[in-house]
Amino acid sequence: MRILLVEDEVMLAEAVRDHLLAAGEAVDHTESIGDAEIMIRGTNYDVLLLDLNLPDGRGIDLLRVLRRNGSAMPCIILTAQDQISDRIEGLNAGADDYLVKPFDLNELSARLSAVARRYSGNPNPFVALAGGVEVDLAGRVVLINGAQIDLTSREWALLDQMVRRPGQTLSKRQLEEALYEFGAEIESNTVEVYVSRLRRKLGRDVIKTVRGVGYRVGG
Amino acid sequence: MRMFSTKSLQFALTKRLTVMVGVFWIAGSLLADFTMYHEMQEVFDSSLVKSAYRYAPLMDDYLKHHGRDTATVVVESPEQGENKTGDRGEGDDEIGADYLMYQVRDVSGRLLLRSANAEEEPFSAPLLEGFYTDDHFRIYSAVVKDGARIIQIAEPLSHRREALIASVSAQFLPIIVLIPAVIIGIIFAVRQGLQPVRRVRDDIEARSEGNLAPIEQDDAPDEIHTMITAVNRLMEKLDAALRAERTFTAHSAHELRTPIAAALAQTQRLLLELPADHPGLKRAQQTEESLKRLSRLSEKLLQLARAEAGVGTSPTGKNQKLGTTLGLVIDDLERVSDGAGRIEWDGKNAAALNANIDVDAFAICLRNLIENALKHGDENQPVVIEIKGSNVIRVSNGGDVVDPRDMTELTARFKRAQTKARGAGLGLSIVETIMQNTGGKLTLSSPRPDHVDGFMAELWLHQS
Repeated sequence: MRILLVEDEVMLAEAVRDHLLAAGEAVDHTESIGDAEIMIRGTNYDVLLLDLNLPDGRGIDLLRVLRRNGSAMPCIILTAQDQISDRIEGLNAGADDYLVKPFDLNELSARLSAVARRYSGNPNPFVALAGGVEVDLAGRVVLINGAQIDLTSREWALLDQMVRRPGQTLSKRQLEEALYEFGAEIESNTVEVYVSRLRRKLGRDVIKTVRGVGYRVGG
Repeated sequence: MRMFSTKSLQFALTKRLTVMVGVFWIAGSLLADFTMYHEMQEVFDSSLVKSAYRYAPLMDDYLKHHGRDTATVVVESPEQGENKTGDRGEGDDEIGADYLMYQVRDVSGRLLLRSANAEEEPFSAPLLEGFYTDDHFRIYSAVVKDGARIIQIAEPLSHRREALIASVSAQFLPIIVLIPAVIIGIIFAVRQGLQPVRRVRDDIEARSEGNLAPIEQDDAPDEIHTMITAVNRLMEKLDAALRAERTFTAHSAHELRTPIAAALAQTQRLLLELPADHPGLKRAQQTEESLKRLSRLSEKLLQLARAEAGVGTSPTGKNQKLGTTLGLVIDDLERVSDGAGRIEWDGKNAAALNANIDVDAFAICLRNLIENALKHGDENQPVVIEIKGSNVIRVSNGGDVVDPRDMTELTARFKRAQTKARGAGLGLSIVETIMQNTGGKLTLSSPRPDHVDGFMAELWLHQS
């Protein structure tokens, strides 16, 4: 998933970013609403992690603007405001979930997965694919006929992106966005390289190529 | 409707006004009666004098024709109540008894003539011109015919008393009837007069602790205008102080939570990045545990600070629906490891739940009770949440019975039950403080009702 993290506490933001990167997500980080607006205009993020108290305004105002403009980007609020009225305000403004600081990084990962699953239209974290392949999105586990297969972070990020939208063809550009954090170098054949690696590990029938369009799993 | 209090201003004013009106009325009546008594005496006396001198020629004439040696009855008087037949004049058909009686004497005191109702015994009055009063009669003696004859007209004193009593009674009877009407009038007038004061009282009474809006004083009388202004100023200051305290608490929450969050996240990253056999791993785990404990403690202290700052009542001062808040809190706690799959709640009656409490304060109470139940209850039994009526919430759990000696101390600060579970010992104290702020009640029981074990906390929320 490509995630935008809007958080002005640098130490916390670094830890969150490192944690998500280690889990194979692509994370862009900014400390202000102004920058966040520019980045959202330029990139299709899968999830927005949004702090509420930011140097140039309230995160909730950014969320309201996004929803008013028709954005359906999933959003999880990360905040130190622990009152239930703040939470109700956040959810009413269009947030999908609300995590109060301090939070457990694993809890954040679980909430991210739940929100992403909800948006993919498949709330079930267990997905069965061709060739006896089973994917547990919540546990980040891949099994072939019951045997666990080890994937690197980026292999997982690519597979995760496709498994969340079974039957839907994703373009190379969409898959690139899921793979790389903002500003990282993207080589022209990177997606092909990782698709090839996944096919070697999971079998050739799991990921199908739709010529001239992109790739898909299932369907 | 409000009960009539004997301590009320209305009661005091009504009582004093009634007493004063009564006293002045009685004093006025007594003065009138005193005056009337003297006037009546004058009229009656005048009547005696006039009668004596009018009778004089008649008696003289009568004596000339009937001789002078024996006393004689002149005219029979009608008895009291006797009908006077053939009365052609206006007035009563009945006439009273003839109260006046007379005796005519010569200068030696010999009785020459008397009225039918007069005794043969001479009156006790001396044979001198003027009034005389004995025990039974008021007597006037008229000396006529150059002192040769004395006419004495007597009137029984009982008649005068009777006339006076009849007059006074006629004056007081209507007053007795009018007094209740006057009291009702006074009550009504006082009520009307105190209407602006009552409006201010009702305004203050109707508002909850959280409502610090100024009291309206447009139609307040001058006497309480200054008082209302002073109260409004005081409430303004109190409102500002409470706002400052709440803002401070909110900022403190942010300032405390953010660095703890950063430290915890960095420590968790360190734990994930350190090799399994690294000597610093154990220290990192201890640091993570301490940070989590610090986080829980800071959360409880901030909740306590909010409770101590007087938060609690609904900002609108009225009941508000709490079902959504209840759902959010339960949903939140079901996600944490302690609560996963252990909370039993069917959502029944949630929509009916409403009370005069701030949603944040309600959430704090509920969260503490459920966390306590999850933490201290039997892990193999569910934490059951029930709603009774529209303002009572029960949170119960299985587990050991709490020692009755400990029950009373559970709501004391930093007091924990005899349990292995970790906690700050503040949860129930926070709930108790918020319930006190809002006029609600927290009741604790162990064992829980209909069971031989466990614990139950019951929140009785205040409804306005």
